[in-house]
Amino acid sequence: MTAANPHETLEQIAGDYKYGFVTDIESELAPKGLNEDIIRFISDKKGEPAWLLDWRLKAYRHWLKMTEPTWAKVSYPDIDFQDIHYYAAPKRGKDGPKSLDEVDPELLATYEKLGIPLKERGILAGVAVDAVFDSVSVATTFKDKLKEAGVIFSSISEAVKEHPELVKKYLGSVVPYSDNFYATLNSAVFTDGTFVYVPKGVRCPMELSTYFRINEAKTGQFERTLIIAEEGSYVSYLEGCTAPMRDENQLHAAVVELVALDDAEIKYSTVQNWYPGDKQGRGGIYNFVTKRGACRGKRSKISWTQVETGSAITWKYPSCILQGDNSVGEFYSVAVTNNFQQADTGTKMIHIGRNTRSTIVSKGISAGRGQNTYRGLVRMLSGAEGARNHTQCDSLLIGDACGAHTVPYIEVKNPTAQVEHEATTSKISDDQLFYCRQRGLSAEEAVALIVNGFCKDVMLHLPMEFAVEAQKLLGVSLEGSVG
Amino acid sequence: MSAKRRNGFQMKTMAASTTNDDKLAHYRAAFEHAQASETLWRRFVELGLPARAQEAWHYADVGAFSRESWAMAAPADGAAVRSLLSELALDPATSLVLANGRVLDDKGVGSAAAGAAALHAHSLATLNEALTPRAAVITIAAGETKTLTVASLTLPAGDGEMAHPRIAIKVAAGARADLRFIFAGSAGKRYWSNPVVDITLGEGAEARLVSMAREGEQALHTGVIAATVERRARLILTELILGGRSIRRETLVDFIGEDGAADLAGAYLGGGETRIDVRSEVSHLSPRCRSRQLYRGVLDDKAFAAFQGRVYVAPHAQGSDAAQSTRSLLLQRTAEAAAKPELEIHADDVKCSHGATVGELDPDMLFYLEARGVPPAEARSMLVKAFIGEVLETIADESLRERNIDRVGRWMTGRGEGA
Repeated sequence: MTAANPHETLEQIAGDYKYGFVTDIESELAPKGLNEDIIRFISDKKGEPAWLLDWRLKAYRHWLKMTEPTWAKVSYPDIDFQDIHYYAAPKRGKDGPKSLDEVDPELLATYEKLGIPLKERGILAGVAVDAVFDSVSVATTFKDKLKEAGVIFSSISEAVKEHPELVKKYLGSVVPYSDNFYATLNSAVFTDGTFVYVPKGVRCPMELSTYFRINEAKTGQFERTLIIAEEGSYVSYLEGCTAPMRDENQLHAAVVELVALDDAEIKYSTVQNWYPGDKQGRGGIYNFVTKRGACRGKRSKISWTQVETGSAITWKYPSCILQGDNSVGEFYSVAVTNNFQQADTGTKMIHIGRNTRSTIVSKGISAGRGQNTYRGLVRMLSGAEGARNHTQCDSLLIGDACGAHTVPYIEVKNPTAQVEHEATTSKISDDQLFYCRQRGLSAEEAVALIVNGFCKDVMLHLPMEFAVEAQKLLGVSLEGSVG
Repeated sequence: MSAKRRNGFQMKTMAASTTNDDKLAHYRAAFEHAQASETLWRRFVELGLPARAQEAWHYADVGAFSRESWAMAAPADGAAVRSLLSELALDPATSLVLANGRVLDDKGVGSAAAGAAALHAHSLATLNEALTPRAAVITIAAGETKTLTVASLTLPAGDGEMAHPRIAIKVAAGARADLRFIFAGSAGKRYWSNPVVDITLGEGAEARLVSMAREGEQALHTGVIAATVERRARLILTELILGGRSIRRETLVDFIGEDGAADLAGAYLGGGETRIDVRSEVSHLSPRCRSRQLYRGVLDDKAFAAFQGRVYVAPHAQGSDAAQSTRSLLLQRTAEAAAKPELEIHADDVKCSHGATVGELDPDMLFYLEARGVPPAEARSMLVKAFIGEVLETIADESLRERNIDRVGRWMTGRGEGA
């Protein structure tokens, strides 16, 4: 690319990223930097009880002793953790909006652009949205309907106030405050996120969905999600993200904790389409996420499905701890890296209980100069009598400058457990392309078609609302990778 | 390209080495005693002692290098060497024998400098290079064929002694090598054998290697075979791990010319409290090379085995074809296995795959055999022989193959009943 005038370049970049816009809403910002005072500030802003502040401070003090992990196959410039605002909230009235009418119209317009089914559209789509705008939840729909069923679906700050006993019991019980560098940072500074509680025997009447937006310049997002499914309950949760255009890298370190008790099932689906940086690898989101589910109950099930097309750096391993006998863990993943994107993602399946089963299907697609790593652990502990795992990892390479890597760890301490792992790497063959082109498809359409076929095993597990969007996303993410 | 790739690895190990200073002290003394160069010492310090945090050593018995203190073994006692050779049914006249790292009768010794690039990034191979300045050198001239057995014996005077045998092999263009390696040593002593086999295959050369580790039951063994494969050359390697307390065998293959081939196969049997750590790293640095890997392990009692296999395909190594299969059988509840089959691919026109399984003997197969009147112990032995047989079939020499199948059968006697 030639050195054009900067405005032109920006426009070009913005043109490529469909969701690249910034909403101008006054924010209340905490000063840059991280120290105990900032944590007290956040806690105070959110009117938290003392136990939670103590927990945050404990995490912060522990974090000071930790070092950033370097084992992942990603490289990026050092992050200055003192150069980040740890709190930003859209300004609002004393008690927050009571209905959508009270919500800042500009904010609503943002959601319109994103196509979030809020208001009437929300009712038509049948989706409840706990929309997270920067750090504070501004609107939640369908509360009444969920209330009828007894399902609690709220922001985590609200849950801290209204259901402190539940939050206190489960927060940090799956991902402890000392877990890893980014999870510990999150424990210290998390600003908001989603809380879901499904009572005993309840099948959640609708798919729950949260859209995440990173908006205010230089605000790291530290979301915390906690989902609890009581005995015999079922919930499907959709997480989708798009982020505005940004030149500087933004850090995102979320933590998601899932707890499934006896016979409960949690289905967690993600479409991640944060700003991946431009074609020269400038900018883009750093996505360092800790997601973990505990199948505590007998016959419980946790299923992770993810379509990861965005972010400059992805560092993410949604995991299942299969404690309950006969519990089931699933991980279905599609990860796309194009241009200069780097993804190091996979899962951990820790089999503790008898007859626990897990399935891993991972599809990695690398194009441009993208680097895509599957990193996974399957561990069978000595009590995992008759446990089973099957792992299938396939990589697709588009172009000769990208990389596809597979790093599975298999550890077995019980002879009756069976573990199988298969991996293949291939490219889109000229024959396949030729066949499609011959039938009148453009090169890009042909690639999108072939890639969607390659990913079918994963896409099948997405809820319908997401499947359509995800398929389009795959095509868009790979634009410019051939021809 | 390979230098760049290995740099990342070195960078990460540097941090580990700074905390290892005191642990390195006794190695420093050994370096000085061997009059090793400062360059080698610096490289050794930079690479650092193996530590769990280093991916390549993740499953290794790393404590042995830092906790125990090792002294260089003195020249071995002649009678002990002869007695072990006869136990192994080897004729010293036709074999190349190294005892405690020294070549007997000074037959074919030469410089120890590492040929294979992979050895420069390897801490224990660097230690070997520094502490054994004279390697056994085997040269096979262009167009020639050579068959030879190489025995590396470790017969220390007492516990806590180490030996660093080094064998450098040059197989010239079009030459053929048929080599057998036996690593063995004193039954009851705690010793450490750290052999390095550094082999270069010239254009169109072919080398068939069979390596057998039958160390003493207290022994620590950390052996490396590093092969540099030139254009259209072919390496066929069969590794058998049959004895020792803690054994690590590594195979490093660098394809530096086009159209090379490597067939690697390995079998390991672990009982008691044996710890086995098998690692392979096949680097496709040139286009159109083909690699096959087949590893099978059987573990009993409290044995532990890990297999780490890595296939690296460099940018522009188009047409690479790599396949890897690793399977482990656990015969007892107390046995453990780990596998880490790893692919790192930077070219798009490649065919790469790996498969890994861990489990017990298939109860259906056992039932089938027992239903036909085969006693349970024999059924188990048959199945294990067949399982390991896949690897043994890669040995071209029929009598050697048969002897090893029998050896597996003998090993199985009385095993695997508690699972």
